[in-house]
Amino acid sequence: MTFPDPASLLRHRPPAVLVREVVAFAGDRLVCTSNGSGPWRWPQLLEGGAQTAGLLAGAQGDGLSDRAVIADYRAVRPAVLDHHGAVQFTATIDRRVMRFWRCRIEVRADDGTLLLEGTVTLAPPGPAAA
Amino acid sequence: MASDLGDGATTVVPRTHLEALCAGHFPGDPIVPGAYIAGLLADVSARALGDGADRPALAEVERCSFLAPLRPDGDATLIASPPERGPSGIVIDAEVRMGEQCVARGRFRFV
Repeated sequence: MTFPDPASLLRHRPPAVLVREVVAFAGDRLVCTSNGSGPWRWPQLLEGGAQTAGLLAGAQGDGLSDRAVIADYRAVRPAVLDHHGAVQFTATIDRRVMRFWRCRIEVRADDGTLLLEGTVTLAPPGPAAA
Repeated sequence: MASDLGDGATTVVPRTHLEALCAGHFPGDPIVPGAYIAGLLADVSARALGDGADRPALAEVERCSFLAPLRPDGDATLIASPPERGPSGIVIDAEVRMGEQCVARGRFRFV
């Protein structure tokens, strides 16, 4: 499967665009490279994972628009608090409830080391949001 | 109410810092990214644990929920509740307020 350029899909603009290109897409799973090589603090790793999840949720049938918002994060475990170097963001669809999409996210260093994992719930635009 | 681990912590994030966090997110409609809000809440929670060299480290954002967009319309207040001992570490509830409105809240675990 092919996937459009993330920059053409995201509402974000530099310097907030943390994903660069899609390296794998399998319907319910998306892997993106990072824009730059940091240094990263863990919230930036989490944000990159969320952007990847947003792209993935948007690619689903009846998926979310680029106006989607974050409803919550859960079970986010940073293995490191800071990281230097390029990373890969992976998002996998966990479940859908109504128009809410929950995705598992993982961020790994180029050598495969797990840097952060967790879940993000994305919601259609509305009063709640981040 | 205080616990044996401390009284909690409060800090104010100036509007200028919120504006910086919104760069590119989004043009013409600035909203502080939720991940950065989680980071701010983790930071104020860590402050509630003191500043000793042996201070526990963040292990998990158990949850962080967003109730309304955080826009850089003014200073934000971060409030961390007194730490409590949990089955797998020290947990702290924290929230972000803009004026009287709570815009985000979360629970953070430290070990």
